[in-house]
Amino acid sequence: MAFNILSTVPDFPQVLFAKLVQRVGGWPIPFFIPDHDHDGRKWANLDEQKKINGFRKNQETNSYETEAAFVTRITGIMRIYFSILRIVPAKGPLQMFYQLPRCWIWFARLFGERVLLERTVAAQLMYSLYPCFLFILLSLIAYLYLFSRIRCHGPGRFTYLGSTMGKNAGTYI
Amino acid sequence: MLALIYEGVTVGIGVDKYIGGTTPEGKAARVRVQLKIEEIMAKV
Repeated sequence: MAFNILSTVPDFPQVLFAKLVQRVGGWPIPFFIPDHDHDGRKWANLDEQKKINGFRKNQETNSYETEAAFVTRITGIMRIYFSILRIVPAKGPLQMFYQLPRCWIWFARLFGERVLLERTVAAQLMYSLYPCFLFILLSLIAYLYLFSRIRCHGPGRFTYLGSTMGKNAGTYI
Repeated sequence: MLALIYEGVTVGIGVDKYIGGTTPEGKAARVRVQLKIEEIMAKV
């Protein structure tokens, strides 16, 4: 359902991504949140910092969720995001945050930040990202097969496929 | 790439530093990653 709205409603992709960041902190990007805001202002207190990092506060007990609850919640939300990445769009590519190559960017960013790697969520998210890579691998195999079949039809078709290969390999399978 | 992750979850990325940290949940997730990689390698 999220995918259908993403492909039809304008500006929804940006709004959804902003909402994701609001709910889980820097993990959809992923990005390590520093101790100050983008304008250099330090976080007012621990509460604000926790909130920015995606921790949720229980209104009744006035305490933050545990690391285990945090990991479970974030993994759940991110799994939806990762499954959106895997859907092959029928009407042309989605906004850049929801295209399949995004999972490589996600992975590369995660590996670039040591601090992020050491967080508990990192390992669990890496595990839930695995279907994305499997999907890419399968698409690639299917695509190469298709490519080898179509190649003999002449240079026109050849260049057409070649130019779109990097952008959205999954669309033509 | 798999080797890199495998090293990150078994040997670690520094002295006493692993992917996923050292909390119980982190360890559980780490083992899950390790098992998945072993599963992939067993199929190849």
